[in-house]
Amino acid sequence: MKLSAVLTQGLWKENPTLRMMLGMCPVLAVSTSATNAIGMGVATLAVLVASNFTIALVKDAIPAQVRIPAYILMIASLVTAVDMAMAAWFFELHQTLGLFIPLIVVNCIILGRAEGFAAKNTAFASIVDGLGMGLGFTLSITTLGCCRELLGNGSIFGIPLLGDAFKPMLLMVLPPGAFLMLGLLAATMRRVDMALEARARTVAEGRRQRALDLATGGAPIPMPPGFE
Amino acid sequence: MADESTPTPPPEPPTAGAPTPPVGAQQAAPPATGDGAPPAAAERPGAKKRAAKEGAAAADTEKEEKKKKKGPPKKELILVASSSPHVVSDESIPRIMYTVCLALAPAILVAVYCFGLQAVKVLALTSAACLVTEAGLQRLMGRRLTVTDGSALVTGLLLAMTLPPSAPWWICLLGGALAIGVGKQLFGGLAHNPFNPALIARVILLISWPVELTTWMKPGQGFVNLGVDVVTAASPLGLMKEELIQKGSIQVVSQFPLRDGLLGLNQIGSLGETSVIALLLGGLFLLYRGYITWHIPVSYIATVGAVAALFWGIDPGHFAPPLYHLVTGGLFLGALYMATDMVTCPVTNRGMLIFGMGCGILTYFIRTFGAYPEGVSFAIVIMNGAVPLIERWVRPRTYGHNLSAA
Amino acid sequence: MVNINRLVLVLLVVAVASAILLAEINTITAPKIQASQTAYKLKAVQKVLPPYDNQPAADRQVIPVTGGGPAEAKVELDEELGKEGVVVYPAYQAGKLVGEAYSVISHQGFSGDIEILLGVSPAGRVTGVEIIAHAETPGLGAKIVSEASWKGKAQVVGRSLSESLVVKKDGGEIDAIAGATISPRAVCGAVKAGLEVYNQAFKDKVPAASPAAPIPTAAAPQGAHS
Repeated sequence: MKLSAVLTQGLWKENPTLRMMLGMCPVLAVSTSATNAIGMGVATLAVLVASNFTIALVKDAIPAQVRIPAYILMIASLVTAVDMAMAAWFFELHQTLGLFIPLIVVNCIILGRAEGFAAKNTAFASIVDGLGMGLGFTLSITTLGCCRELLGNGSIFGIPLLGDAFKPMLLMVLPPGAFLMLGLLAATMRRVDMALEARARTVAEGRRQRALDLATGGAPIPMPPGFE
Repeated sequence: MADESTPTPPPEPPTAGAPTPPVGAQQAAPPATGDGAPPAAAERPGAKKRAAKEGAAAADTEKEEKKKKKGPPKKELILVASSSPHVVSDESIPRIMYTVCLALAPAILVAVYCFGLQAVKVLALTSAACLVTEAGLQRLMGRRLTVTDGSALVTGLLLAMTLPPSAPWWICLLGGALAIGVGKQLFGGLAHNPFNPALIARVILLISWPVELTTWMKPGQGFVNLGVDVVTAASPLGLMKEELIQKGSIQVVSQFPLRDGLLGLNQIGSLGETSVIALLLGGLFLLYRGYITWHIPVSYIATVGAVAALFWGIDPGHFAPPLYHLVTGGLFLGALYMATDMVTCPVTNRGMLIFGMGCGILTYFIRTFGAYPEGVSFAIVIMNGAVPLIERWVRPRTYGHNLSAA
Repeated sequence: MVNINRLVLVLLVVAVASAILLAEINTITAPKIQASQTAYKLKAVQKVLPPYDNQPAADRQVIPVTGGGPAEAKVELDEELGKEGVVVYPAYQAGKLVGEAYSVISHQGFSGDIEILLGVSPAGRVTGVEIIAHAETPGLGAKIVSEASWKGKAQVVGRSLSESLVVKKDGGEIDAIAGATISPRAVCGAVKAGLEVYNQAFKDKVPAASPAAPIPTAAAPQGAHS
């Protein structure tokens, strides 16, 4: 696979959150505001890149039988490192994200990429994959956070946008709002895909027709038997 | 085009009484036997569209001619494959839905009598929002337009009955849109929704805008003016909860005139939380028409009464008497019109009894120990979620199967 | 068949490498985290106390009290001082005690406990309230955190036990939040309980004069309130 494809597949086609529905626990819990969401996204991104890189480096040295505990051990260490670093330099964000930083360990995206990509690819490609997947995760959780904060609090990144007349829809910053909004986002994404597919089909159809016209001079071609 | 790719229709079966394939399968079915090898079939491959159409048309006329020749058709056994139920009656969805609207009429009249134009406003706005959302979404998703079947209107009216008369216009419109959008069409439309759409909307509204949804007005104020500065008041259940928190005991209960709750002309609450008698009237009508059965309302209301009696018996100073719980809040509205919604309640009698009991217990506990003063909507929605489990639990034995377990 | 020793060895190596990595990072971040935590707490301490010229964290006292009830002073173990009790941060201005700050926990929050930092003057009046930790509904009960969204937070300041510390809905003088009475009520209850604890246990426990001469360092938050 080309590196550019590795990088972009996490953004849309195999978006971990809105397509593969992985790592739902932090997505639903932490996306109450755009700031929290982006904090969680970046923390996960950092862990993902580091774990993909480490695992790709040591993959040949680790026997298949113990690979899961070894991976988990490495991921857990990286998460703890990120946790400590955040506590040291982003204390207030760390206070809000609380328990969800340590819980990155059990985020399926991390182990999923370790098993599904890093264990089979080079270190560099794994970094790129971690970046792509991590960015996809960050983008989707931040979008979710923006939507929820806007509807539920009338602001984005703490900046009030909708004025005083807007009555915030509290449900959106509560857990049920997370499910609703996630569903709507995933549906929107699917709808966009369907529209794109339909358009691609028309384009391909048109191209085929043009090629046919060119070849036959516009005259209808008799169909071969059985192909009607 | 189906007729393009299929051979000409099969000739008449050679012997009368032989079953013809079901309607849908007829075209694709190969000819049964012998004499009718499709005449056009040999030339067909490679033929142009027009030729195929002509062939089909010719075959049609041929068939008709055959029929004519035979004179009165022979006795044919035609099997139509369709899913159950097979009993034909003149019941239809519109008929049921408009009957429910009719059943709501007494309660609506009381609401309008109590809250005047405010009530009319809420009822009109929510119903309109429901109808518009239904039509709009069905159009958008390319589904059949069924906006005139009355189901959206019922949802709109029921939702309005759960809202306070002083609800602002945007709450009404948004509520209607949420009821049909989130509660019904997202799940696939009528009869696909696991939860009562009106209650889903009410719950979302209550959680999102608790202030607007728990600001009540006194009856008699909105009759002439649609003004915004109505004097607010506390609902009986809200009052009870406040007293409980403040003083640790309840006194409001002893001052509460029971007549108010039954007649509902002076009761503070949502549009449909006014008159128990008017609600009961409509409920009895539905029961008479057979659209609801007694199981859910009776088990629901009786359970609330029984649990309330139990707690009241333990500590009358702390818990309200059972009658207070019965005549205040939206219990009768919920028990008669919402818990009995034929889409979202269990189908077996035993299931319905369990469903009603669950609703009753949850209602009492939410009212007494929960954060919200009223628990009917939450209770019914939660029990809606439990319906598949209940159905599994009380599944009737299939006839002839599992005899030992019977 | 894979050699079992190899499996054990690999896991051991991974574990040891992880441990070393974490130990290294810990030595780098630990002092930083400690400083952030103190700064975080001090920021709140600064907000609830009148202007001071000492270092409340360095001068802190641990006073043992018996808690209980719906709201109580927060009893914690101060590892550095090796004592268990309520951690009190005193504020001295020119060597004279002007206020004390300590945490009070209310168990009557809408969803979970609410921890507040209460500042009290020697006369037993509230000098400030900060919400340290809570789990109230965002957009509703969570409005208690700032004066902008809850007027009552400023109204509490200056009151003593002899004045009303009850929300208006319960017949008091403090504004509640529309749609969320429970959270302000819990905070008011905590303030009241905190003042009671002050009168019973804290009065005269903290030296009225500064134990040490004020140390004029850059880190000292001088004139925080000027």
